[in-house]
Amino acid sequence: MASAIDWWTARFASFAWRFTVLFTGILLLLISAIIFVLYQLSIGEISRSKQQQLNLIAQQQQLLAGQLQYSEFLQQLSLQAEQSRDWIIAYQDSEEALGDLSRVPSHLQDCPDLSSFLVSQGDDLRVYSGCIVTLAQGTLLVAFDEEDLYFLQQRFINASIVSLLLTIILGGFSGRYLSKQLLKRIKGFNQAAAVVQSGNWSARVPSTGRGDEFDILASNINRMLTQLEHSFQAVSGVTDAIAHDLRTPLGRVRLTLESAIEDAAHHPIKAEALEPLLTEVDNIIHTFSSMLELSRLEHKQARSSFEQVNLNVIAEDAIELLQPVAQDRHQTIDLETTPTLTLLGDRSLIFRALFNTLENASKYAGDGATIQLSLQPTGFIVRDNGPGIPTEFHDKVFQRLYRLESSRTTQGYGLGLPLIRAIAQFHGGDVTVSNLSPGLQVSVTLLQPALT
Amino acid sequence: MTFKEKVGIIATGLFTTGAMFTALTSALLLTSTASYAKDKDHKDDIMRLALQSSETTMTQAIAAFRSNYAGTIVEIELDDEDHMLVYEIKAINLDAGEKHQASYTLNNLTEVDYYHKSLKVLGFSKLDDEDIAAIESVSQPGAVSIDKAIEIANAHNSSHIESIELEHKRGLTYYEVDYIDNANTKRLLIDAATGEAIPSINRK
Repeated sequence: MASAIDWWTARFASFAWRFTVLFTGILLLLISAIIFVLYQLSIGEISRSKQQQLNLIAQQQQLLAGQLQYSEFLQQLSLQAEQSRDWIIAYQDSEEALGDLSRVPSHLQDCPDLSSFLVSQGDDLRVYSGCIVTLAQGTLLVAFDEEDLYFLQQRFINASIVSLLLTIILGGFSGRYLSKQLLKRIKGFNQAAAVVQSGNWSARVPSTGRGDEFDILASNINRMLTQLEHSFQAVSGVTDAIAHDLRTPLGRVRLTLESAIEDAAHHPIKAEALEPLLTEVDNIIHTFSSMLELSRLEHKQARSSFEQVNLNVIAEDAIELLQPVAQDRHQTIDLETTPTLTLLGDRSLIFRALFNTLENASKYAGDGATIQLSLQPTGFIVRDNGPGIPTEFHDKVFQRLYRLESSRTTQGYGLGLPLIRAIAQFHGGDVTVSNLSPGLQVSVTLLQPALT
Repeated sequence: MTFKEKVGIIATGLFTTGAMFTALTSALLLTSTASYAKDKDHKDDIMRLALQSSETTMTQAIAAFRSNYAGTIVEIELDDEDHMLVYEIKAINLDAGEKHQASYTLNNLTEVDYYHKSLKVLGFSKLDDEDIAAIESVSQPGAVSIDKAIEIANAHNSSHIESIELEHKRGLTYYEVDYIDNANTKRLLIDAATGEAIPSINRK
């Protein structure tokens, strides 16, 4: 018994079983309801109408018994008994039995309550249903042959049992089939999850291509997995980059300190010897503050600092700030404005983004390059005619601390583009990088296109 | 082939087999009743003569049976056993779940044959609910027992009972009495609840 309950509990834990049982149950309920209604409309209706008619005849005879002479009453009763085909009308007084039956059985219930009794009809024994009315001088019986109705009833019951059994079988099979189909889809999700859990981020949920709810779920999960995979790659990339980029300056700091300590015995440490150390440490601190700022920006939600910002003014300020450096490098900066250029945003962040973009262009485009800043209603575009970035690195330049091999000789932390992107995304826009042969175009939007 | 078509074919197959079986059985039944009718006339004459000359009664046979075996008597039949007329009595003991059957000679009520069998298979009764209900209803105090039914039948026609059997139809219990009247077998049905003769239909 206990094992049977365990078995059932275990079975019931499975969705396929619960679905099958529920499905079959609902189907059974439905079929039962249909059968019930059918019965009431067919056999139930016949039975009720028979009873009504029977009571009508009984009442009629009772009425006549009160109105007519006894002999007249008996006469009409015999006549009616002879004429009515569907009904048995019989009467018995102390002397004789009249009507359709050889005698009126006793122990039958008074109308309108019906009772069943046997009547022999030649070799046949049939069941009749009827009731009696006790009159002043005798007993009246009105009844109808119940055999056909009973036969019909039995046929109906048998048919119902067969159809319910068929329902159980069909319901069981189809429920099981449907749930198996459903589970097959879910299995794909489970398998993908298991593979991911084992550490393989490349696993994806299979899609049937039908575009149904499961496919939508699958594509959402797959997209999520792709994003997570990128994030994890980025995290590990950052770790590697930190290790790589900070080891060198830290190594230099250590070397300088070591030689200073060794030399300390011979001659005192001079301030000039410590200055490069300070610069190195400042750079390291700057890298970390930038990283922190970037993190804060990426998690920032509040837009309380937003105001109407005039891009023209910001662009002019940024160019002015960069002009001395650009002049050193013999670079020219062109500004292309458009008339209506205020947009909602954080003034200092937009300035940072614009300045960083220009500074990047100036830093990597090389001496004598031409830098063009073009202001757009949704943001700005910076173009240069420098060496550009190979297409395969277009995605990577947005990773934190990522630096192209060619730019390692240049001073920098690999945080410029990530910061620009974080600012753009914070404002609801994005950054795209594309090559202009020759040169590079960095296009920054600060508004979602839909909002413009 | 779709599932629907398959079900259709299976159902048709079953239906055809069923119909053929029914046809075959009815044909067999028809032929057997025809040959039975001839024998019966001759047998009735012998039985009537035997009953008229007999010094024992069915009631005495019942008493002899009851002195040995417990149970509700459901059938008594005058039977020819090895050219000897006997009362064959069948009784069912519901409590023990047994059926007893004994034969007593017509001339001196000697028990010539007896056997009993269990009505239980694996703890389930072989009798259906209606059988049990019929037997229980006549075992109640105040119900018409088989003795009473014999008494009623004798009073009814003062003739010779060939067989009396407890029957039921859709929950209504009755005794089916076959008696010999002027070389004819006639049938009387007695309501086991009231002891009245079951009414017969007059015409139509």
